[in-house]
Amino acid sequence: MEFGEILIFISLGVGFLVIILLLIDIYVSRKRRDERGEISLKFSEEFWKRLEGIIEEETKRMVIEIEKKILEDLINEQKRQISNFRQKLEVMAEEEKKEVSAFSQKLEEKRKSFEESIKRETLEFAQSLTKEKDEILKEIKRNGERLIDELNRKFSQVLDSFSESIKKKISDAETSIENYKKKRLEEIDREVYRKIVDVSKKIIGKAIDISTHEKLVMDALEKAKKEGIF
Amino acid sequence: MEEIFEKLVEKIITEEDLVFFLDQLSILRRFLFLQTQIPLSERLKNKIDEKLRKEIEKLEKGRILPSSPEEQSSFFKELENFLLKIPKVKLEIAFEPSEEFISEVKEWFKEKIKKRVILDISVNPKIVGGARIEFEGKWKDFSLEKEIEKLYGRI
Repeated sequence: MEFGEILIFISLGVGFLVIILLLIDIYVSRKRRDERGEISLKFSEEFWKRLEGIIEEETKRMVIEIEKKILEDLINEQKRQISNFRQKLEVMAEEEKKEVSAFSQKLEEKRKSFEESIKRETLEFAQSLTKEKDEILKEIKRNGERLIDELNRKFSQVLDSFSESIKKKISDAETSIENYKKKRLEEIDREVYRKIVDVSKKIIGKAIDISTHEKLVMDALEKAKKEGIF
Repeated sequence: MEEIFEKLVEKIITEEDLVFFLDQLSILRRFLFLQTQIPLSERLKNKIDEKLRKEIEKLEKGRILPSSPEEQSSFFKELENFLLKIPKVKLEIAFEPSEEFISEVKEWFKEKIKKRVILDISVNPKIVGGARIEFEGKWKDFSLEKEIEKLYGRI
């Protein structure tokens, strides 16, 4: 139940209570006059009915007015409260706005600071990178030069050993050729000698007649005898 | 007995002669125990070399050859053993020798060495002249081939 409804019920209760009190007051006044012997005017039933109707009407009108008044008060109160609330809201909004503005400003400051920091760090990083790059390039150059020197040295060594090996091979080949030449010459000598011997044998063999052959055999037998073969 | 054998094998000079003679003996032995009533020389007609058959006939007539087949067999066995015991001389020469020359060699051994030998002669013209001689395990080169090689070897 809302606050306005409660007020309406309270107003209606108060109205009924006022009417009852008025009726009680009228009744008590008539009784007192009767007791004092005063002449009282007698009212007809219609009068009472009209009076009740008037009272009822009046009561209703009053109730409506009261209700209207209560409603107006209520509305006014509501308006006031709303106004207050709005004011509060405005104040809050203003404060919020201020806070937001402050926050935004802080944020902006932070952003700027961050940007600056990023820029600074980027710059530093870039400088560092540049420095590092220079160092790396120098190192690469140093390593490259060292590698080239090493390669030159190795190449020279290999070339020297290769040269030695070639010299040795040439020397070996020369020795082999010399040996081969010597061997071949010996073979040729032997061959020539063999040919000469063969030709000599053939010539001598053909030149010897049977009687000479027979004499040679007999000489051989004599020699064998002398040498103790028999 | 050796004198008889010597006379029988007088014509055997070379290794070929020996092989032929031994072969004739082996044929002869096949007829020793056949038709024993007939003389061996008769039985051997046209079976062995006629010269040998005639020699056997002489032996029969001179009663040198025993009459029984068994004794004849022993006789020829002894003859074979006698032949096989004759020492051999191997001669490698450069020419084909004539029979006269072979006989001359045989006589040389008989006179100079006082030995009956069998000549095993082979011909090898490569030795040019002279001879290579082998006797009872001893060998010697007396060839002209050797002399020529010696000569060129010095050169």
